[in-house]
Amino acid sequence: MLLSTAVISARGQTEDKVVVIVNITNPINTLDKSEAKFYYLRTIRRTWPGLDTPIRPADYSMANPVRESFLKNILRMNDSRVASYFKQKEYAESLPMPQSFQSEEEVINYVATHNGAIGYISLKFFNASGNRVKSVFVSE
Amino acid sequence: MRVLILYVVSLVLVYSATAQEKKLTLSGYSELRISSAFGEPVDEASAERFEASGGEEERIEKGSHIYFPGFNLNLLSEISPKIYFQGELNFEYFEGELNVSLFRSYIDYRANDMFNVQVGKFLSPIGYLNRNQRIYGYLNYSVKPREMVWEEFGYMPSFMLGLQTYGSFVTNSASFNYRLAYGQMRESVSFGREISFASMGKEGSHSPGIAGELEVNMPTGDGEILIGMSAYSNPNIASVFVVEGEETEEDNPLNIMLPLRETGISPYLRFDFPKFQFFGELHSSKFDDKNNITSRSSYSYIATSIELLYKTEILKKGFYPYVRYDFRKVDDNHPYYGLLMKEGFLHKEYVFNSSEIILGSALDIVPGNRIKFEAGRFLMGPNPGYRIAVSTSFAF
Repeated sequence: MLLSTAVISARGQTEDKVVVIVNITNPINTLDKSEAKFYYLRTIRRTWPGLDTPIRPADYSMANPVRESFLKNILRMNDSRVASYFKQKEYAESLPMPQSFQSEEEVINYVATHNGAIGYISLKFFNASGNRVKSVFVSE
Repeated sequence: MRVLILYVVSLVLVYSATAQEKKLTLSGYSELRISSAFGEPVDEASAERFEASGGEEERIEKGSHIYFPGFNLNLLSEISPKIYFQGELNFEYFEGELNVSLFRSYIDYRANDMFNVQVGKFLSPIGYLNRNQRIYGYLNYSVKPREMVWEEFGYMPSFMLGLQTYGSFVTNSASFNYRLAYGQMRESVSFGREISFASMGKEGSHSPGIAGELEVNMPTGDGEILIGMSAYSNPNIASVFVVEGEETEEDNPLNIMLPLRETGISPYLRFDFPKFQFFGELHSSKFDDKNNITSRSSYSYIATSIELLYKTEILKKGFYPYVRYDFRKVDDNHPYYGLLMKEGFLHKEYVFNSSEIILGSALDIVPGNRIKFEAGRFLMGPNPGYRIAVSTSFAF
């Protein structure tokens, strides 16, 4: 993963890449695109396998290029569709809405300090952030 | 009312205990709807019979209406990583009065993905619609409330007061979900709100029943396929026999008690993909007249709703054209449906068959707000032939 990250960085194409991140204690090391989507949305699981902790998605409170790319390329849902999806989850399955943050720094802090958290940040920011969180998927 | 006050106090306590940890969500939703029906009744004989039975005009959507169903306030609290509390109140303004009722309220203990327990008043695990959507509002794409899950008509037991276990078994390609519930199904658990007699059974009676559901959720690339089957049994409903078009005092000692047994199934299917969504659900039930008081030993009911939705965008806003088909068929002189409680009187109105094809579209103006427009053509029943409706719904 680190090797591929370095290669992508060398090509100067990191701006649009999105990294899906989880807490460092999470036993999951890699997800494919579909798994990343369904874990984030809690479509098939509510807790992390092997961790016995609720999945806690992190989102951004305001539009930004990372969120736009995540919605378009990984979730394949627009802003309003995501809002209604999570609202449905809250009402029907008693699953709390994602925690919302204003910056990538806040998202990485949240994921680093919550066992069950899953979030997404830009590859550029991930590369600069050290080993505080674990990357499980990098968008193409 | 006392129960409701206690409930509100408990909500405040839960709120104050959890708000500072940011593990509490307070949300709500509502809708404003304008509808107009026009044209001659599709079935003139059915319309005359409905009128003769004392049926309300609103029931067949005659004329134009502005409808504000009130709003629902929902509280979800994470008391601990394994214990959650969910409460939902309905505020409805009706005939000059604000009615507050407890929509649902339960404690949810989440042991793991495979085994969880809920205790309290919850939505019956019968079909997808009853659990996942509301009869009106933001969680639906279409405007018209689906009568098949509308608690005030009581075609199926919408709520249960009791205990429910649920969980999922996940494989590489699918998750298998189950729900199993036991509790009061059609007993008076409305906490003070005067609702239709039919939806809950004879007030003060006890009618414990069982409901269960098995569901397979198959993620496929960018979409998911959901297939489910529910079944329920409500073996001891204490009802009252009332002839169609007549009424009796609720506590009249001369009332003829009518013990009934209800069983039903509800299969459903949902394809949800980035570009389209298909949904279909069937409800089928049978009421047995246990003491052979009426002219038949059993009465059946069948209803379905099918919706095909296309997902696209206009000016980067979510735009969802849809076509929907609703159908309902009830055995004539059904002894339970159409039995309504009004100011201490039990009134029996004609329960008609109905079907309608609906075309419409929904537009998400901003996240949390949805504008909808639809046109309907009734194919059977006493309704005027055509209907148009527009609504704005929101959630926060």
